[in-house]
Amino acid sequence: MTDDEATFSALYRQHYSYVRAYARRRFSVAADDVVADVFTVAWRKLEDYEAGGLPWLYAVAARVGAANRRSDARAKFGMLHLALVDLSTAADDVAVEREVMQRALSRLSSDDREALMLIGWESLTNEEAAQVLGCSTSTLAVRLHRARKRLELAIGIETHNPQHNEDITLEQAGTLT
Amino acid sequence: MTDVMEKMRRTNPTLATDPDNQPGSHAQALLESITSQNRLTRPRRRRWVNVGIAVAASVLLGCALVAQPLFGGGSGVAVASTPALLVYSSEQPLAAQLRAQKLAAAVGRLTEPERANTYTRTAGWYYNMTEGEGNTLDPQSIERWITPDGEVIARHQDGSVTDGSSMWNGKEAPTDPGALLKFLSIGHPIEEMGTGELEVAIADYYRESNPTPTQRAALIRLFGSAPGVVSYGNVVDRAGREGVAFSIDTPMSGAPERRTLIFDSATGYLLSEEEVAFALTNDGPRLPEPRVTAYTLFYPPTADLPTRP
Repeated sequence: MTDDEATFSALYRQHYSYVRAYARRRFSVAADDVVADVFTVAWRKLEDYEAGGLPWLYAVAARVGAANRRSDARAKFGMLHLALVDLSTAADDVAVEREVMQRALSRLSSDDREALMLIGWESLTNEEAAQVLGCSTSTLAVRLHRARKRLELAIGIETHNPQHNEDITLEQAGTLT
Repeated sequence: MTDVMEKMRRTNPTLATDPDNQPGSHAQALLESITSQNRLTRPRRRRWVNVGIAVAASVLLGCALVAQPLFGGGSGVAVASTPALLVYSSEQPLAAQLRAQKLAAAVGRLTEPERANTYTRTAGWYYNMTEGEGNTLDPQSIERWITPDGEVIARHQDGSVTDGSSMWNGKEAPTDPGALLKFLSIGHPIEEMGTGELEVAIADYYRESNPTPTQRAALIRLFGSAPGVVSYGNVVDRAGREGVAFSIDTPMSGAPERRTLIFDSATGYLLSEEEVAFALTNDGPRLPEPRVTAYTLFYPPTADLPTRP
């Protein structure tokens, strides 16, 4: 085994489960394709991978996932805003809460959603999330502040009779800062 | 941590620690597959995985079909029909940059009435290698209505209507080369994939927009000056329209291929996108000679816009 292979294998084993979870949350059935593409890019750009670590992988995953989604869209135009993970195994109350959360997240812009998911689901720090999104930490903080407010509002819409509120936009539902 | 972020954590649909996400035999096989590749080659897209063969059902616009073996010869090898290659005015690659600059300069001087940037129409064909899609040869005709906030409503050839979101949320492309490249990189990993991905991004932008003359000029200039881009001169596309062709040879889809954009020689509007695959020397599907694997025809906007479904 070469030095490169040893380095890559160690990083791969360290990060595989995180990247797979990231991809499953966002790309559903295409997750394994995204994982394979992400680590293929990482192998080719091993120096960047070593320097950037997991946030760098997430940034690659976001771009590769978007490209794969676009390829699928060429066939069906069936763009998924958010991968809906099977909820049937979760306890009923958690399942309901998850469904509300996923519906609420789907009401947000992709920028807001991604910022929230990186912090809330990927458990990144603000600095790491900013690295993934290619923005400054202060920009991320502002984006997060607004995104949280929008998410709270969206959860409110989804919690209270969502079937009659499909056409309500966040702007119509309340003033945002 | 705010309440809403605690809710997010509580409702995380899958954790890295879940058994489903732990590296198993599949992960080990993937690791071995990746590290067996030369680090200098570009990544292969999934599109080429588990390739199946099917026979063309139909091709739009009466373009010629040639029935020849797609993969190798011998008994039991499936046969597919693919459209005939286009005939370009030059067999040898010509320098693209000067040609692009000349066309872009002429296009940039055009003046046009206010355009409707809310409707686009494309038609085309591609050899469907997407896993799980049945590997059929799909004709496709798509009309798209783009709302100001970036929603895209698409009506397909079979009359079905779907909706999605714009890659660019309805935003206008800048004309500064650096800003334009950054803009096109949204949803398109140009940095990772190279010039081939730039070609894809430009075609995708036309699927969602009717660029102004200055935007069209900027797109031509950017692609014509990108690394590896050459021109094979003029060509008549599959709708009988003459244009100037710019091509990039790339292995980004997992096999050597030539991706070509054909721009109207007068208006600079993108007329066609062509994808041609070449024979392989690696472990991918065997294409014994250049084959058309996809094309898309783009139709400039007309005064009468169809009603949105």
